[in-house]
Parts: sequence; C-alpha cells; structure tokens
Amino acid sequence: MAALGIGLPYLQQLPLEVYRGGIVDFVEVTPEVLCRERRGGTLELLPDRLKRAQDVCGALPIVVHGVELSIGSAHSCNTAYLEMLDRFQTLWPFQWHSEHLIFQTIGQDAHTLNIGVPMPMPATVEAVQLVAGRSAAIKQRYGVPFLLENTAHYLPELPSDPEIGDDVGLMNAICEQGDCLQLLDLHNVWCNAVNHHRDPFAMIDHMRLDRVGEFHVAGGSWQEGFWMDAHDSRVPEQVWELLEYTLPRTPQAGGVVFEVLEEHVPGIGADLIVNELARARGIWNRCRSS
Amino acid sequence: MSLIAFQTALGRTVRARQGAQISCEGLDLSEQERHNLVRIFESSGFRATARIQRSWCESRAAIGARLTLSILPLAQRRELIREWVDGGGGTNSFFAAEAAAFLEFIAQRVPDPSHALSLCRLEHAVLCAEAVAAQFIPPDVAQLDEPECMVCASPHAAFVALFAELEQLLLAIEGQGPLPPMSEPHILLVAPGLPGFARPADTAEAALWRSLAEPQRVETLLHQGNVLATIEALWTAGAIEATLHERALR
Repeated sequence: MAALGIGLPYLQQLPLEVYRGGIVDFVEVTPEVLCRERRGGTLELLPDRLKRAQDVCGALPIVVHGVELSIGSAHSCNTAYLEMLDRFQTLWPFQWHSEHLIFQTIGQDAHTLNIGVPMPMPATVEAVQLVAGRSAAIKQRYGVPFLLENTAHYLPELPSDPEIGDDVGLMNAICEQGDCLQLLDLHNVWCNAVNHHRDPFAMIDHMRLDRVGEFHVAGGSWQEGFWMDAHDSRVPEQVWELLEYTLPRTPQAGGVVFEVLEEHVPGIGADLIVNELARARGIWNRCRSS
Repeated sequence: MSLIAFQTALGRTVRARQGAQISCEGLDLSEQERHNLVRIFESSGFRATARIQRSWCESRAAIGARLTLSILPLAQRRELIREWVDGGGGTNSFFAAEAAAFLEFIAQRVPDPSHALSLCRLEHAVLCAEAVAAQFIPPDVAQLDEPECMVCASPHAAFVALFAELEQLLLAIEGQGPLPPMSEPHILLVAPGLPGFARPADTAEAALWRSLAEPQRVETLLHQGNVLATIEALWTAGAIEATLHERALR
C-alpha cells in the first residue's frame, strides 16, 4: 500500500480550493455517483459527471469506495457494479478499491430485491467463505489492494459461529482468507461500541491491525436512543482518540479519510471540513514520524 | 442458520415492516432459528433499522418526483409516497431510475386530465431528455436530404400537454398564486437538444412526432404534407432521430 496521507470523498458541493493547496493528498471517489442505472440494471458512467470529477481532483491520486456491490448477498453480488468498475478503471486508474462488508439485496424468485439500506453480516463460517472468495476474485480482477469496511449496525444478537465469534472475528477471518485488507471505520467502531455497550479499545485490540489499509473518521448524531452513523457532523473526540490509539499500530495504513455525506456539506460547511482534515493530518504526521 | 435464510428473513422483514411470521415463510429454519430471528425483529435496534430504511425510501421517492408532488395537497403527497414505499418502492439509490419508476406510479393514480398528471409527464420527460443530454450532438440537417433517410420518434423526447401556462402552475406551486383552472392545452416539446430541455410546440409538430412511432422516410413525410422546417426543427432538437439501421450506415 502506498502511504497517501489525508483524503476526502469527492463532494460535488465543495469549493474546488478544498481539493487544492495541499489540504488533501488523495480523493475517495464513489463511482456510482457518476453513473445512471439503465433498465435491466446496467450501470452507465456519465461522461460529463466523470469529467467534472476528474477536473476537480486534478492530479491527486484517487481510491475507489463503492456502495452498490453488496458483497455479502448470499444469492449474488452486484455484477453490474463490477462491470462498471472495469470501465471506470480503464478511464481513471485508482490506487485501491474498497467496499462495505454488508448485504443490501436478497433474491426473490429469479429477481433481485433491493432492501434499501445496508444490513450487517452474521459472524458465521459460511459468511466468511462467501465474502473471502469474492474478495480474492476482486483483488485479482483489478490488480490493486481490495479493502472491506466494517460497518455500523443497530441489531442485537446476530447469528454467529464460535470459531468466528463476532463482527471483529468476521473481518479478521475474511481479510486472512480473502487476501484483502480492512478499511477501518473508527466512527463505525464507536457507533457499535455505544449502541451495543462494548469497549471500542478492546474491539480494536482484537483486530488484525497489520491488515488495516485505510481509516475512516466521521461524525454522527443521536436518534431514537441510538448513535447513528449519519456523517452529518464533526468527528467526536472519542473517535479522534481511537485514531491516535490505532494509527501507530497499523504499518500498512495508506491514509485517513474524513467522511461527509454530500447532503450534509452545506450544514457542516467547508471551513469545518478543512479544520477536521487539518486535525487528521496532525495525527497522521505525528504517528508516522514516531 | 444458513446465510440465505438469515438474509432473506431479515431483508423481507425490513422491506415489509411486518411480523416475523410472514418474513420466515418458505425458509428452511429450525424452531430455535425462528425464535432467534423473532428476538431480532422485536428489538429496538430492528425498529430503528426499519425506520431508517423507511426514511431513506421516502426521501428517495420525494426527491425523485419533487415537481409533481409539490402541486398536490400535503395529504395526497404523503399517501402516494406511503403507498409507493409500502409496495417496495424507494429502495433504488440511483436517482433517475427511482424517479422514473415513482413518476410512472403517480401517473396511474392522479386524474386524467389534471395539472398533476401534466406535471408528472413533464417531470418524467425531462428526466428522459436529461439522461442523454450530455452525449447529445445536434445532427446535421443535411442528412435529411438523402432520399433513403428514415427517421423515428426519439425515446428521449416527448410532447406534454399542460392545461395552464407553465408560469401560472409554477407560481401556484410556490404559493404565489391560486391553482389555475383547466384551460385549452399548451403543448410543450421536451427533448435533449433544447436549452432547458423544453419549449412551446405547435400541433403540427406534435402530430408529426406521434406519426413517427414507426420509422418513415423523410420523403414520405414530405409527400404527406409535412413541412421540411418542422422536420428539421424536431431533428435538431433531438425529438426525432435516424433509425438504428440508418445510424449503423453512417
């Protein structure tokens, strides 16, 4: 993994200056936002949107962060996404590629039904085998590192096998068997710790930190008694503490990305985004030099 | 518990927001596994997940049909969104696909004719035109002079009848005027090559476009009494196009 530094998602509403002048070292692009879905499910990259994104990113390296693969769906993952990504890679090569360790579609008769929200995977041997196999194939297909992101969820008592244990064990086993890396989203760790009454530092201590390739930090908010992974605010202090704790122990980490949802950009504001990026850079520089 | 049974039960129940018994129908689950699933479905975390799903689906639908919904009374808007999401709509995160499907749904449920249906057709037509606008290159009118040239109506264009001036309708939507009464139709052409994707059209243009559901030679159209300027206007706007066979030859 190349150590890129500090990254930001490609956000169409942000001023161009945020992507220039050394504020960010790389951009995380979600290719689906540059696409439209044709009847039949094919994903078509829209040339004007692609060009606009390339203009904004300029010479900065990019990484891909997909949202539509549904790598954990038992019936089938989204092959239309992979076909689109094949075309995307020829047009705009990326340093690495990541997706979420979730499922968001189910099969019904001969059709695929979209659930409408990402759902967590059970910590079972079958889930490991399915996702590890697909991860290895994806790594081979694109010839760049493939990373899986740990996700936040609100469901208690998910099924599990004793040899896998929990969501941490699930990720560890998939990374090992699938020859992939982890995109460690520290806000998601924080969400799960708060909502399921777990110790976030103990969760991190059980992770294969030698397989962490990238970090996400983000903000959230309380809704209905749960701390939601809403990407709608600044990074909580506890998440910064987790980054300070974890980053020095991750030799392969290629960067830290501050995640913001496009719809929350006006509310958060460019100044606060730049401040959070500067704070991430301070931690990155300190940990990388020690 | 098999992965497919777990995912199917969970996915169905989040989508349906109904009881666990329905979601588990036909699945290979032991009594203990069903019991475990029911515990998940009865948790506050599951209810929060289902509410997030509902909220996301409603937002996708509302954004997709913003113009059409805005002319309807609040209660009717909510009812249309509720019915659409209850039926499994709102789950597609691709804006245009979700919007087109929801607008087609709305078109079946508002009176014909009505301002709401007109705006629904207009919003749908703009969506279709916008989808190809970036790649649209105004074709050379000289192609129409070729004797064998076959043309047909573009699937990315439409003629929409509004039963009031568009400006009046927009003022009513913004709350700056009353909803205008239904009047004689004002025809709009919506096509990818037009600035803003729409302009007023006349009945001759609309009749010509409708007659091109099946491809015809330009020569034939002229023999039928159509005016070349009308054909050219539709051609440069992207409302009519060469047939696939024609395009393959060029």
